[in-house]
Amino acid sequence: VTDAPTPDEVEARIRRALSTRSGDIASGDGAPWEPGRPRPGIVPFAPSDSPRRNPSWRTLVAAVAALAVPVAGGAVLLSNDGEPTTPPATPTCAPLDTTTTVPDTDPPTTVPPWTSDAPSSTITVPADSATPITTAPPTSAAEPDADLVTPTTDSWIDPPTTTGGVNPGAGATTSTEPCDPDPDAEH
Amino acid sequence: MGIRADRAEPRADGDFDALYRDHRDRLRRTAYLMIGQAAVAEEVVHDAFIRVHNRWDSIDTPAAYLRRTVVNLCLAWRQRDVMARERMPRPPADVEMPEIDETWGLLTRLSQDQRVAVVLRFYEDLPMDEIARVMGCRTATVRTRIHRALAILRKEMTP
Repeated sequence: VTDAPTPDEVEARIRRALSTRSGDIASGDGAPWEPGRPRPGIVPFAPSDSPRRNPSWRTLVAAVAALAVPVAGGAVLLSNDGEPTTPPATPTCAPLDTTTTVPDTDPPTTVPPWTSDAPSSTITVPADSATPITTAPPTSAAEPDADLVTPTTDSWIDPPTTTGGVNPGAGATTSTEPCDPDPDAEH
Repeated sequence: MGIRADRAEPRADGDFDALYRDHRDRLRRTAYLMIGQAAVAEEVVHDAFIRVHNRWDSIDTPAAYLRRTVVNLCLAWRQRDVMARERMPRPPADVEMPEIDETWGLLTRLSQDQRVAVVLRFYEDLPMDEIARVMGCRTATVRTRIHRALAILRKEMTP
């Protein structure tokens, strides 16, 4: 004669406990779960296919520098906060061509190349100058994220496979054995 | 269950919505019973949905893949949580029926593999071979885990 509950009683208690405690988790609309009632309308989570990332300030500075350095002869300065600044003096990018002159008294209005109004590859020069100074489009502008190391999600999405096949979700564990191969099996 | 790379036609996004609606609440509860923390269970289930969504066109049986992902994430989380649970003060006991509280408390003391197997067997009502597939082990191992878990619970339960 033993006082322990029978196996059927144990199983029934487990089922009751699990069923009861599962009620701790409410349905999607916060109401208690009732299997017979219609499921609430849930707006599913839909991650975007290709999340966009804003270019970092390094990318922007690199793009500006690629534009400005050939024009300003390397006179572009960087302030402490990373904002590119140009000296207030007349641009020193006058072409060496002696036929083109830059008047000293009337400094040209140069549109900063990083503003949206400025053409991407042409720097405005004085009106009396017949030769616009053109620069090659910066390579970094064509590839705004070229210097970014965008982490690929595949590294943590790809579930490692076990000998039995795909083992999804096991990639999150730090263990190299995603599904334990019978640590407590009796053999 | 599995992944195939040569699916002829991409599956419609509406199917994913249906999968989400049909399985989300159930999986949240299953994960909660395996983990014991509602917030973590919610996070685990959403993580699993994201993983399924990212492989949506290459998964043969999304529901099975989803459930297995949830189980694996629960197992991984409990492995990381073992140390924290040992060092944190025990939360106050829940006020339920004494039998429910006692059984719940005993379930939380099972090993993670035993607890997952018990939840899949007695809450999800999965057959042994399906539990073995979900947990990535042999059917005999599942039987052993459940048998041991029941023996522990029976020994500790008050009559």
